[in-house]
Amino acid sequence: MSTAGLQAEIQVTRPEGFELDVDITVRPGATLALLGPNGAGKTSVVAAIAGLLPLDAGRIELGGSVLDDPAAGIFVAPEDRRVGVVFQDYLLFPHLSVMENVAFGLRRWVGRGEALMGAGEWMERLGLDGLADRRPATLSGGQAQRVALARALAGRPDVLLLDEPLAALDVVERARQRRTLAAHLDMFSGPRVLITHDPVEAFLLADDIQIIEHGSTTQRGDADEIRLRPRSQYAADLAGVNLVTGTASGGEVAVGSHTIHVADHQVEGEVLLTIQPAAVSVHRARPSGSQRNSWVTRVDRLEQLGERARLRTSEPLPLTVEITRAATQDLGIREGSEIWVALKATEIDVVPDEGRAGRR
Amino acid sequence: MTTGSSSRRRRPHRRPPLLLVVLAGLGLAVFAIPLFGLLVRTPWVEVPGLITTDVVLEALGLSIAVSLTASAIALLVGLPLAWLLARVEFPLRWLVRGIVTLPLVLPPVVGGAALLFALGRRGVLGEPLYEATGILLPFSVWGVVAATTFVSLPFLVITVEGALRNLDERYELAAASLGARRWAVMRRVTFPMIAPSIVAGSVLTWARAFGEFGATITFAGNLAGETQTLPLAVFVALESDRDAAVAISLLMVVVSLIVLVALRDRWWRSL
Repeated sequence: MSTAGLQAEIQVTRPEGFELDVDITVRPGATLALLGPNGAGKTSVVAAIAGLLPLDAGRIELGGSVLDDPAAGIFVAPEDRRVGVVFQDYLLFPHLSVMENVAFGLRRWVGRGEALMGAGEWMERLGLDGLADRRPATLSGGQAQRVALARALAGRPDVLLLDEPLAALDVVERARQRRTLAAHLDMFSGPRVLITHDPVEAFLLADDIQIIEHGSTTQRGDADEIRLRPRSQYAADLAGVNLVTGTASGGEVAVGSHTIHVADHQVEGEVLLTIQPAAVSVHRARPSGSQRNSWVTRVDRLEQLGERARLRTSEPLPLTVEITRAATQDLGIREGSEIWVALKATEIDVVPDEGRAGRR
Repeated sequence: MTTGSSSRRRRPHRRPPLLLVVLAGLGLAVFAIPLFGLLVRTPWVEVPGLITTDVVLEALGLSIAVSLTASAIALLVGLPLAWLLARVEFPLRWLVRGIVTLPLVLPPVVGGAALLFALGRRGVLGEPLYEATGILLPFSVWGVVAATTFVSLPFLVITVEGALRNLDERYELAAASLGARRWAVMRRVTFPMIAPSIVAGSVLTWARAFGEFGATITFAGNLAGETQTLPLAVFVALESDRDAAVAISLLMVVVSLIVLVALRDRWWRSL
């Protein structure tokens, strides 16, 4: 195992009974996104690595040295860890100027004058020149985010933790900062952990994605794996794909009272089906051809997304379906319309649902 | 851009509800009427002479010295106390909170009497103190300081404790994650961030100390030139020389008002 990166087995029980049990590994120069809904425990992961939340069990190792290991009686205080944190709402010190904020973490290494000089260099690197004497309250969201990043990086950390760094920004600013953040992250050669609930942010900024739900990891992989083979409803919703659970037997999967034919005849038992919205075709009448999966349903909801339209079908198997806008017009589809949907068996991705089977 | 233009737009002018204005006016009258009485009764021409007698000047000097000393003591011991109450969970903290605020509601005379029982010549602590060092607190200038501190300290403690409890502790965690040790966190983050409340608490403490009467007269007596502060001078003058009493009262009003008005707009938006 490499010693230069971050390895953490984090087990914490919070007073209100919430249990967090997450393992993460990040190599230097790589970005791991922890993606999950609010309240999943992502921020606690950051707090544990930063030493603000002591572990109940597990172990945190950074750059070859152990930061927290309750079993061995090791706990390194936050101020003795070399951890750079960009906090959720930045937490810039309101009584200090931008430059003094950036210099704050340098003071542990050098005197005031040298710290301010070092801060100046970081501010230049992050495009903050000219803001040195401003107070944090007068900054735009994007500027504040970059000051927070400069402050975290200036302290020469061994790991960079970013807790929802773009969540405080408005939509336009977020898109812009996402691009610059990607460039800024490359300035840091150590391991980086990005906490986010925005899949786009995770897909764009991270090398690996780990999905955290209810205090534990539900999936780990790169962006394509998460998108094409989501393993939980949450992940599927993020990716916009349909995720259906059922019971497989000889190429047939029972989903409630409905049966879906799949190409894989080997898989048995509890399965997860992933159906891409664009893989479903829509017709006015029973489709001819060889498709074995087709049924009649109704359009519950219809959304126009530029040249594409997204519709939500009702019983017997609610699905999100994506077709061209032209097709909705040709077929005269509106909310409440009765339609036929069809689905090729080969378009359905089937994986054993280990999580569900394991809980049995 | 959009926020800039909308903030410049005028708010629709609406008259405040009449009932509210009337009641608020009555509220103001509570303060204004006694002040008015004082102003009407003031012998303006004689005021300069009345407030520059030796007795008054000595009392003024003592009041200023004692109230500043009480404020300094409050900062020295009150800040740590406020910090402990706000940040450290210890057994019976609820009781300590109550005890700290007790002087706010206790009649000062009772406070002075309690001080006498504790620190008087035959008091629980006063007797050993006297036997060991020969120091007697009652009826001395240090007795005035003790009595004044007793009644005024709560103002600093509750103001600062409230500010500490409202301060987002995550700023301190952020400072720690940036390598700042405990003292550095307090010096560079905690205290600067609550500075307005520390100033406000100190001023309130000073104002209460400046006007302190009951505990002082009970514990430290009323010796002109020694333990007689301005409020005590007013009390004495009421018996002998009404005009002097009015003049000294006016002096106290002016001094207090200058300090409070000067600081209210700058520091007290939170109060």
